[in-house]
This record gives sequence, C-alpha cells and structure tokens, in this order.
Amino acid sequence: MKSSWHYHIVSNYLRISRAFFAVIILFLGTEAAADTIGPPVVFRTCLPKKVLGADKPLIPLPDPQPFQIGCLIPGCDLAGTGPLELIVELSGDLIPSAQLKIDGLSRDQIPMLQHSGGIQPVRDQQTTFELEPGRSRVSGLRVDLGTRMRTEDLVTMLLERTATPIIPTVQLHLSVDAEEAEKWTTKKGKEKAQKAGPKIVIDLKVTHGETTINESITEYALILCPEIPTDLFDHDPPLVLDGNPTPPVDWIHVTEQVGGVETNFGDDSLALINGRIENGSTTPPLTEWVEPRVYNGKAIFPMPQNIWSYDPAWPVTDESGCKQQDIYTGIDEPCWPEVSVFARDRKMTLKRVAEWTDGLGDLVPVSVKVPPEVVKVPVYFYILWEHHTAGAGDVTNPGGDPCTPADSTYCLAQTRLTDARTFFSNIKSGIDFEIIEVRTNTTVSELFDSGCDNRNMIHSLLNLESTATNPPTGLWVYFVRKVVEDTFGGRLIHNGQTCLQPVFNTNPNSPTDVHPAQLNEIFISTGVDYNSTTLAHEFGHALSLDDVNEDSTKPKVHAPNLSADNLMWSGSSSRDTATIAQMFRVNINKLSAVYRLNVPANVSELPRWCHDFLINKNCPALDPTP
Amino acid sequence: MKHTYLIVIILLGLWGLETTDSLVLAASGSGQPQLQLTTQTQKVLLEWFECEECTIGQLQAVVLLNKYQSVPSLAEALSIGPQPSRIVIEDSRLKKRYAELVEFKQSHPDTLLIDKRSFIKIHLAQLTTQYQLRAAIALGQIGGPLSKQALEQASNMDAPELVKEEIARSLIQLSQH
Repeated sequence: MKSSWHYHIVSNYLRISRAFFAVIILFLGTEAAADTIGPPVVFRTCLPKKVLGADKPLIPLPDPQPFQIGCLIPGCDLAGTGPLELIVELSGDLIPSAQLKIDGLSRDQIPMLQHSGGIQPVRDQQTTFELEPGRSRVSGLRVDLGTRMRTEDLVTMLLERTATPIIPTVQLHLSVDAEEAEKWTTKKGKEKAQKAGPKIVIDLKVTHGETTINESITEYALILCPEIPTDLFDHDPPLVLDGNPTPPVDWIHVTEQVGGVETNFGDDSLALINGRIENGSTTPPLTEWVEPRVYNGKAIFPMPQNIWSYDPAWPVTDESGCKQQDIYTGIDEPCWPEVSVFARDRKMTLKRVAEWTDGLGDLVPVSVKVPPEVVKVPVYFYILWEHHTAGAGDVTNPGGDPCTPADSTYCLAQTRLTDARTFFSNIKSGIDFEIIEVRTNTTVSELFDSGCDNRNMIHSLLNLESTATNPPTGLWVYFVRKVVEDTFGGRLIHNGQTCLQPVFNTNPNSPTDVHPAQLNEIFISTGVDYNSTTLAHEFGHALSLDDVNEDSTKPKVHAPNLSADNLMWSGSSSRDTATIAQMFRVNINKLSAVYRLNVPANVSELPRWCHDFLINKNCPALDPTP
Repeated sequence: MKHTYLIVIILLGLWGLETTDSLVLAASGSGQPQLQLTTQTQKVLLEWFECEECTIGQLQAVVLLNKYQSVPSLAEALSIGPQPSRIVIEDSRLKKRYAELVEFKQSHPDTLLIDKRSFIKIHLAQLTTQYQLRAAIALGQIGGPLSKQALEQASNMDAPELVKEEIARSLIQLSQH
C-alpha cells in the first residue's frame, strides 16, 4: 500500500539516492562540459605555403555554419521580445581578417543596430561589419521571440519554397593574413605548425539580458600544407622506384596498377605512417618511435624526418620503446614500421615497410588496391514495423528509382543504407556494406517498440540463431518504430542502438579487466529518428568504434580534439568525417565486425587489439593531426 | 539495535527529502521561480532532446533541473516541437546531405534512394516527433502539477500515435505516484 511507512522509507531513500546522484551529475557537469549550449565545431585546414607572402595577401578559410539569432531550446523565449545582443570573440594564435554579415533583419530593425568593440560597418553597408581581434558587440537586435510559426507551416514553407522564413542569421567570412601566416613558415614556426599548428577560435553568442540563448564555438586548427613537388608527380615516364629523388628526404610513393604497370595514383589519398625516426643530432643518433602522422594529397608524400630501418633489437632496454603487450593474452607483440593508405572506394592498403634505410633518399612504394576491391560487410535487414501510413498491405513491390512508397520502411531502410555507404566511401575507409537479405515480419506488435533487451524474442520470431558455434554471418539490422530501453532510472527512446556484450580479458596480468565489445545486432528507429546518418554511426560501433563526445554527465576521454562533424559524435546531425585512426581501427581491430564476421577480403594478415582507448606503436591515437 | 537502524534510515530519508528540494531552490536563487533558462539548463535540455543513444544520466540531469525552467520548455517542446531556427538548420543540412547521396548514387547505381521532397519532409517530421517524445518522457519523470498539466493539455492535441502513447504512459506514471 502506497501510504504505509515502508513506502515512505523507501521513497525517501530513493530521494537520497537521487540527491546524491544530482550532486555527482552537477559536479561532473561543471567539470566536464564546456560552457556552451551546442557542440563545438573544429575545422582542420592547411595553409598553402606558395601563397604566403606572394601576390595574394589573404588566404580564405572555410566559412563556418550560419549562426541563428534565436533560441535553440523550446521555451527559452519566455521572456518575450528582445533586445538581443550579439557578442563575437575572435582569438587564437593567428588572427584572421573577418567579415560578419547579419541577414534576415527587417528594414526598420537595421537603423536600431549599435556596435562596440573592434567592429566597424563596411562602408555604407549597415549589416556587414569588419571584425578585429578581441570581443565585439552588436546590440539593438530585436527578434520577436514571443511568437512562432506553426511547425507544419514552417516545414511546408521550406518544402514549397513559397517564402523564405525570416530567421536572422550571422554569416562569417574569414581570411588569414599572409604576413601573419608567414611567421609560421620560419624554422621554429614550421616545426610547431607541423605538430600542432596555429589556432583561431571564434565564439559567437546571442544574449538576452544576462542569459545566453544561443552560442556557437568554431575552432580552426591550421597546419602547413605538404609541399607536393610537381616535377616528381608529373614525372613521365613514371618514377623509377629505386631512383634517387631530390631533395634527399625519405618519400612514400603511392601508385596503382594500370595495365600491369605501376603508375602514380591520381586521386587524393591519405597515408598514415609510423616508424623509427632520428631524434636530435647526437653521435650515434638516438631514435624514437614517430608519433603517427597523416598525409593528405596525391601520389608523393615527403617525410619530414629521416625514417630509420626496422631494427628487431630496438630498443631492448627501453620500456617505453617498441615492446608492447597484447592486452588480452599478455604476449609481447613486435612493432613494425608501417604505412597505411586510404583512398575512395579502395580497400585499405597496409604495408610493413622493409625499404626504410638509416639514410635519406628512401622511396617506399605503396600500391593501392585495384577497385572494386573493397571490404564488403554483409548486412541483413529485418523490418519489424511498417512505417507506411496506408498500412503494410500497400507495400507490395517497393523499390524503383526513386524508391516508392517513400515512407515505407523498406525505402527508408534502403535510404539509410545509401547514406551509410556514402559516408564510408567519402571518408575513404575502404569498407562498403552489402545487403544479403531483407525480410519483413510486422505481425508482432510487441516488437514495434523494442531494443537490445528484446533480442531473444526477435531471434525466435525470425528463426535466427546466434550461438558461439553458429555465429551470425553478417550484421543484423532491425527496423522498428521506437528503439526502447526501459531501465530502473527511467524510459529511454533511442534513435539507434548497437547491442553490446562484454569481452573478458585473458591477460593474466590484469584478469579482472572487462571491455565491452559490439555484437552484430543493430536497432534503428524509423518512427522517430530525424538523423539520416544514424545507421552509419551504428555501423561505426559494430566496426569497433566508441562515441567520442562528452555530455553533461560524462567526460570525453579518447579524443579531445574531435568535434560534432565526426562519425562517432553521438547525437550530431552534422557528421561528415572520421579520422584516419578510426578508419585504421575499423579495418584492423580484432573487435571490428570485419574480423568478428570473418568478412572476405579483410586485411586479415595484420589484425590487432586496437580499442579506441589503446594508443601504442601499433594503434595510433584517435585524432592525429592531419 | 534494529530500532536504531530504523531511526537512522528515517533520518537519512528526511535528509534526502530536504536535499532534493534544496537543490531545486538553490538553482532558482532566492527561491522565486526563474523564467530565463541558464546556459547549463539549455545545454542539458538540448542534449536530452537531441540524444541518439540516450543515457539515464542525460534523463536524470533534466529531472534535476529547476522545474520552473525545465517544465515550460518541455511543455512547449511537447506541444510544438523544436524551435523554428533548429528546423531551418536541419532543413539546410538535409538538402546538403541529399545532394551527397545523389552524387554517390551516380557512381553506385545499385543503391536505392527516396525522392528529395520525401527525404526532407519525413526527417523534419521525425525531428518534431523526437522532441515531443523526449519531452513526454521527461515530464513523466519530473512529475508535479505543472508536468501533469502539460501532459494533459498535450494529450488532446493532433500528434502521431507514438507520441500520444508516450503521453498516456507518462500520465499513468504520474497517477501512480
């Protein structure tokens, strides 16, 4: 009975737990979360050295996303009409020339604008400003926060393009001053730029009184673009692989076979190197293991330092050196100099390099795989809820171009797959997904809203077997209405969910360690999820990757420099990239579905345990500087 | 001895009651309701509305916010979904994404894709549904007369069936407390 004293004790006890939990969450929240409403955005871009100091005084940077002058959160407009204030803070190692434009203001609002700080209107243009470093303000913005359009009307307006919705936005255009940038080409600056590079930070904020109603922080991480010697790239006939290129540095030469002949690879590719490099100028020279470095370009990659030969004895006495343990077995693994090359729609090429010598002038050839050789992960689609509003009976022969009926779960599932395939192709992962089977069973209403806790029931319904002796031969993706998880602390409705199981450590040195591993089963909501990239994100989990972002209740641990554009940033709709180390892991990690499913054509000769949190000589950090 | 344990438990329970309430009052400063949302409140709410693989920590963080700030925001999300500026941002992202999918399809003719208008319309509708569902769940967890009122008002509105079901579930949850 609810009114009994037992109930009150239990109830109050729960309140204690809740209060305790609150303190922990509030503590974690203030400790871990940056003081902004939305996630940060990081642009990584390079400064072309040839432009610096030449006839072009300014080098344009990619434009940040337009910034909305309005609330992001429902109900933040309770205070009614403005005035609002736009605060812009420009800081960093390298201060750009910046122009700020405010669009979407009505004519009567424009004369009300006031500005202070390092901001000046451009000639007669009252809504375009030049920005200086430091903090600037534009005040007198009056946006009617108290009224809002019906959501349906807004969506119709956007679809029909009958009118442009008036939501004032800020657009920034940034350029780097060539003279400022040139400072980074000095010897000291160059070394620094190749490792970390200068940064530019733009903090855009809209305030109403003392309350911030929207904020966006954009960071530019800059490096010097690698110098691609055109005389080598355009060499005709193609480079002789045992030649002696100048200047005398070590090189990687990316080639492909055309008509039985190795020729320069013409498309952009990414190369990740590790190996032993010279450290200092002592005699005999000391060596150290190079931090993983990424090169982005065409065919020829000059190495910044002399890469040394493989020495199986190195460094016998140095515990921080080459020797490392397999975390599960405790067995020592050797570490080798390696080059990994990634290109669009080509399987990853991983080469253990025997060509490096202790001297300069080594040219290491890496031949990329010939298309259509990619790693194709088999996928099984199981439709457990029919989205189509007219009912399942109407979906008799879906497909075609475009896929119809568009709101059938079949077409939505196929579109999600196209999105995931596009994602993994654009990031040059060398991995593709191949549908083996699509099966529909929408007869069990209990499974319309389900999740990983309902796996056994689904296996039984669809006659699926998943045992140690009969493991799945592909990724099983269930399309449901809502992906639901009912827990003691409350009900959760996810957009997607990849089911986890623990993997127990067999390392005798740390037998109690347990690491979560991904199963081969994924749930996707077709009734709630607005994010077209959710399936790509869940495929990332199945291929062994963890989330990289923080939230108010958990800190970000593995990759401090990643932002909301990364594939594994959970809950972001601006995802469109992944790091080379993530691509390396999905291909190489023994936890990846590529290995768990024994997918044909995987890079099977060199797999390793390479969890996101493991960083060693065989597993690069998640976010090496590109 | 048994009674001593019982007294300790009761005292701890009363302390817990006070602690929870004092947290709410502390968040609202003098104890007066605050209508403007702090940055941290907005951040916690945004994470909950937008989470993809949601956690109990994210839900509990919303539950522990100052009710005078969180409940009106959740009530608005329940009745009409996200802010117009959020929808405009998503519309522009979806259009850009669709162009990328079309480009991929040109070199991979085996792929299937729905038409552009449906792609945008369905995803924007689901963005609204997602905000409504998350709001309904959080209001059910927060409880109290303000939450109940918001849920009751929303139960009569024109909304997808799965939103109505979640509103009904939260109202049942509140009636059991």
